[in-house]
Amino acid sequence: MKPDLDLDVRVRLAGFALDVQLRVERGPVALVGPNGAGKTTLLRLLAGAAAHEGRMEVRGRALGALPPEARGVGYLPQGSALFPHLTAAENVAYGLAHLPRGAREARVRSLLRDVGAESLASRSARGLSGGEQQRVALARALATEPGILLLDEPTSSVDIASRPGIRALLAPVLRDASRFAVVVTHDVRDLLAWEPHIALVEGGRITASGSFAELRGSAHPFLRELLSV
Amino acid sequence: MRHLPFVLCLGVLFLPLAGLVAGTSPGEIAEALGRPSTRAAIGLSLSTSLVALLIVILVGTPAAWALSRARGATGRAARLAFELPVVLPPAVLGIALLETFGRHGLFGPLLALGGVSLPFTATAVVLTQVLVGAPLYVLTAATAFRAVDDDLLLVARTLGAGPSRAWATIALPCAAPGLVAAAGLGWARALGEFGATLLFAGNLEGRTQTLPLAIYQAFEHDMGEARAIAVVLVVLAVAVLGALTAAGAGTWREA
Repeated sequence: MKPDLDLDVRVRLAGFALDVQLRVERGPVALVGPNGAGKTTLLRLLAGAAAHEGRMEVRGRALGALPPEARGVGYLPQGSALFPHLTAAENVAYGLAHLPRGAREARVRSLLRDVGAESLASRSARGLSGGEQQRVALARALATEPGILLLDEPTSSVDIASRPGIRALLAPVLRDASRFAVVVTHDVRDLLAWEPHIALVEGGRITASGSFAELRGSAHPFLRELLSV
Repeated sequence: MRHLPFVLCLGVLFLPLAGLVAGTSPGEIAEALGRPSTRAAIGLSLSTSLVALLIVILVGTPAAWALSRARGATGRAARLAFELPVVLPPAVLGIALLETFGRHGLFGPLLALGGVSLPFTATAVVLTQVLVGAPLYVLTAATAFRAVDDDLLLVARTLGAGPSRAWATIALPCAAPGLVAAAGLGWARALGEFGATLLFAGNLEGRTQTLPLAIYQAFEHDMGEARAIAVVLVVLAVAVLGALTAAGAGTWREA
């Protein structure tokens, strides 16, 4: 069986170089590491934001040459990333333009129900709280049934009270074997709930990679701090 | 007390306008509006400035987008290229236009071969207005586009939109309030354009005489008429500003 993720990518952006080798047999994958280490850059590369050198394969499928719209990716960026001029329902419907109207509306309702955001359908995206925005953005990312799900700090950008709800909502989504997920997080509770393969990103490189149990005994200061419970 | 600076600023800005309106009688305005030359100037000012605005929006919007995404030295050079015409005195622009498109200018003989003569035509008025309005529009619109998060476009792309659909459905509506403001600035600059128009298009009644030029001409022989036309120009500017504000309120951000 092909590994879930096989990366050997190099990219040089304004003032920043990313040089990542990472092979993960089974996802989901959690990217951890200090701010500015390249976690978001790596996630955006997977989404197709920029050209890069090297190889990028997910479950044996080469992504490198594909534009974002052909990658089968669901992307949930950091913070509030809903389309601000649309309602919650219109945000979710954005990727479903190919469906006839009735089918599209039914699908949007069901997606919003799945994330516990049915009541928000007609609300303007701007008027939603951080937690509500994350739920709607997740419904939007799942709408096209992507084979790859990319989530950038889905729990840390919402208020503390909303975090357990978002964390619990994401657990089955991330563990679903029909898709491969990469998630950026700073929170050990996320790692405990989702049981991902953990990859430490530092200075644009992967400096440690393994399961929670494998990395727990690490002498690396960042991992020791992050994984102490 | 804390409103005092605001009130002072408004006072300084509106005092001359108040002087203008107070010094002009309704009779003078009615008389000016009755004159064919004034009506022709109103028609020419509106038609040329709106055609110029249309050209500026069509050409300037993609340029503003490109400018908003240009980084590093290229971006700085491009921004400077658009800022230069803004600081250029209109008289310089007028001479430059004559030297470029005039009968003896750089492209004059070439244009003459095709039977085209630009100076002293309505086309010259529009061309001048485009040149003064476009840089202001592009710079302001680029600022609005710069506020559009790249991640929004990337999300749209991952949801199946090609680059142009993502741009038209996400970048454009997100920047819409700023684009409307940019259009207002560009249009106002075009409507008020005087110096370069005078040099390049001349001051021909009914052909190239816009409202600012009509004020200038009336000023030479009849101050009352000049005042009246000035008030008409103010009313026109306020009307278009009002229309644009309403259009801006129609976009999502103000809703």
